[in-house]
Amino acid sequence: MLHGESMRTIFTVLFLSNSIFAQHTMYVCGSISKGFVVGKKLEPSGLYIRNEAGGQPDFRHVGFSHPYLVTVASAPGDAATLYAAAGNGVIRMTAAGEHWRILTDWRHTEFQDVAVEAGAPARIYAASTDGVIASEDGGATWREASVGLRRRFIQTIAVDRTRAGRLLAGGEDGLYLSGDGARSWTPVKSPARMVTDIEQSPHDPAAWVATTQGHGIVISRDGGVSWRRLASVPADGFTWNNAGFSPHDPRTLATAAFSQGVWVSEDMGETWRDRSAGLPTRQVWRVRFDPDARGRLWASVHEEALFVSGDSGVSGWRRAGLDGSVALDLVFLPVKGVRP
Amino acid sequence: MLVALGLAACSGLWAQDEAGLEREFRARARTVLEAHASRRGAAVGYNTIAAALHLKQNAPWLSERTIEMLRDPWGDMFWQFPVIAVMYNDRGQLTPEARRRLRDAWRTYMPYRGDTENHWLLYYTSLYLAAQLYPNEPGSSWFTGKSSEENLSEAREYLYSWMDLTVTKGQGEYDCTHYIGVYLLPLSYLAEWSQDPVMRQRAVKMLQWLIADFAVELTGGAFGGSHSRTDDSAVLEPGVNVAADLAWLFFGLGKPSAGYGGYPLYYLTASAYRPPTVLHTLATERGTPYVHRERKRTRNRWRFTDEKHAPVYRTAYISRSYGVGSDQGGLLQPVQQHSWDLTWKVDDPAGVNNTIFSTHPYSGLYELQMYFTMHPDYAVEAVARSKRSYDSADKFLSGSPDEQIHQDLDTVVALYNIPEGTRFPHINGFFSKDLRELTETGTGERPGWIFARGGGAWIAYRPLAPYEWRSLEPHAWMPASSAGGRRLYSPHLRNGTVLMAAEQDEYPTLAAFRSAVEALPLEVTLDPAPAVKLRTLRGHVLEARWNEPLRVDGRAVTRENARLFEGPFVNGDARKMTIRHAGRELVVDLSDLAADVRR
Repeated sequence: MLHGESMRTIFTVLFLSNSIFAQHTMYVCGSISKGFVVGKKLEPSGLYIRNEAGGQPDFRHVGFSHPYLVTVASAPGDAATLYAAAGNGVIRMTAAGEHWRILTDWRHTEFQDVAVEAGAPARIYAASTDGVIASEDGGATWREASVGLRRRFIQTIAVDRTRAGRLLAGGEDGLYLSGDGARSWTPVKSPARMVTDIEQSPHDPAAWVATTQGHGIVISRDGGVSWRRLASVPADGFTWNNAGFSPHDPRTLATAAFSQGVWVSEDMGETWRDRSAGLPTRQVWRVRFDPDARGRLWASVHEEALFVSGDSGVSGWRRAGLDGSVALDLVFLPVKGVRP
Repeated sequence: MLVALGLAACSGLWAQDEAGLEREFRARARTVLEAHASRRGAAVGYNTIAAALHLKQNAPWLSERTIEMLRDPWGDMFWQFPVIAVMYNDRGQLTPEARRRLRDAWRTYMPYRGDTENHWLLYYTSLYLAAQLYPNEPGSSWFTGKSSEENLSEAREYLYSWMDLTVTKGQGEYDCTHYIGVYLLPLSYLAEWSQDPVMRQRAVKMLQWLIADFAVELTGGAFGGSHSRTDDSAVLEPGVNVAADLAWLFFGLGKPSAGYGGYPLYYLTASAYRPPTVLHTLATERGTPYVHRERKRTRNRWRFTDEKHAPVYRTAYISRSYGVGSDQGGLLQPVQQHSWDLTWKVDDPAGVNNTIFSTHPYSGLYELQMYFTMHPDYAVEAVARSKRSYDSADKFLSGSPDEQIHQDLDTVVALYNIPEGTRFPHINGFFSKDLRELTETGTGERPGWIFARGGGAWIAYRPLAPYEWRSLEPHAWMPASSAGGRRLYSPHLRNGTVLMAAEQDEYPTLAAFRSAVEALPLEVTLDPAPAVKLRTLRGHVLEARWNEPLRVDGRAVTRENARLFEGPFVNGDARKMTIRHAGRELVVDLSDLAADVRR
């Protein structure tokens, strides 16, 4: 275990070296909510971008303050444009977080997720409290895209980057698959209910992982057609907020739960190690591997701060900014519009 | 000839009434406006600026304070509507710099649109009026990124859609003691400031619709009965809240709260629409008791049901000295639902807890995830930060999935069937310090009737399961006025309450009332589920069983085909309401909305 000055030196070197070679911009979506009550002013919230100018991670708020900005996405090949899923709608903005335009109208509220079709940057899908909507023209117009959804609260939506028009969505009653650009959805055979997040492996497009509220973590090796629950993860009473693949190791996953902290698996979820030591609490909203540094893992701890580890949490964590925050998502988007 | 003379005489009297009512209303309005306009120092907010501008008290400090406040806008839709009041009451009084700052705020500050009906109505009303004030401007000059015309069009669509939903399925945030203010004030804005005469006309009709909905259930200045949303204070002190301020402003009922409230002020800075005389008599004349029924809807349900807007069936019995009101029970609104009570009339409501009811204090993720989008592990804590009683066993403000309520005239039967493992496995009955002649005929172990007088109402309250008395815990969220009251605490999962009432002049003494009630047959069953069979003071035999419709004199009462409003005075359904009272009639017809609504 490294402590104090030596730890700081290592981080400084790591961040300096990565700032030179960084291929991704790190966005944090969330709010500074510690001490907030309704009727009180909220600290600038919504979207933050990571700076590394001084060799230390630092996050600056960009764009409008928004109390409910859940995630951002961009089209592969178009790093200049971001799409945010937010309370006020799906919002288009520049990569620097400026020039916002709300693309949706009064019909949908409190968007939970947004995804952009690989190879078709004008094709956007958004998950809301009341179903899915899709746009074929960069958000200028939208169509309802909920045919086949038995329950319409959709928490997460993801495109299959290797097959045009193929998507997975997860919500209250499980996982759904669409092969026709969200014109229709089919329930997927899965033990998952109350799905909180879905992610496709960056190494193997047939590998997917989904997290749930009360149903553990499920994994698919056949492109999301069939799923099995990971026996190594407790289900009842736990909400697993997300699980992410390491961009550098095809068998490594990290996951976070509000009560369980950060867990890491090096065998595709068959076994897990608790990597929460060094975090102030186990109330973790999100965990994400950094694509620009092998082993660098980020975690957002409820109303504490963002934390970062240089070795997937093995030798501890370092407070990295955004004190008092609830970070709903940590998103790495390619600087030049090319996905790794 | 005599008829003609009679009509002429009536017409003359009515004209006199109208003039008098108008004069009195304007006097009350002036009092509110002047009270807000006269504030100085740290108390000066947008309300003072708007009021002073409205009264044309042009002064340099109004512009200075406006500029100062706009340095750091916050408050979302609760920022938008005060700023709109300042912008539309400006009328050349503010400096060009203050006006420029007001305009620029709509480019530099993005208000959150919120997550519920009143938020959206405030947001879109404000956006509509801001866009109207600054037409032909590009998206770069608005926080939405949309042009003036796009903002105006979207806002208009929302407003018409909301109006149509309200007059076809009912409000989701129905009959609120507090939020009624933020439904009436945007409509007052639109009625006055919309340049579109159709919008203005519809806004006036919506004001009539909502004020009739409110007036018909008033007991003095108190808005009793079931509410989709109220708060810990108003539920125990029903004559002191925004609804009571409005009852005073509109109808001269009750007394206004200290400071007269902010929402009525904003209402008055715009159209200051005075409800017509038929609504005045509807609110103020309480002769023969009557039953008024309503169908409303739930707030948007996002999870756990296929029914986004489930029907809410409300019943109110309005008598001279008291009102009894209820919904059907269940989770109809998150967090702030109040499902039934008896509220008695008082002359001065300040500090008076003129109400009695029971509730199951429910708190849980099921409710929060049904109605909100929040993440599960943090949801209860997040709510309890702002709604401090939410996760308290002692609270009196709660809807519950384990409560079913039946009402026939002024008799209420509330049944509770609480599953094992429920967070708070008991019911709370509220017994005010302001009850008089309280007489307990049973014991905690062997419940009997509890008799009391509330103002001019005789009240009979029958707990169905054993109970104990507890003093009211001194929570910060409890109103100070509740001190001295008691909580009837009953820790039994299968449980219930029967309440009956009568006017004081129906029985000469409490003893006579007690004899009458005790002579009535009452059968109580608690296992395997609560059920009650009784004869009421009004002579009806009620059979209330868990999960079954109420049977009155052997006939099941179902409300599946209930209209939006049914009663002797207010009737309505499908975009049309008719109010008939004291020889007057008002028809509120919004049929033409249908053509303008896009779903």
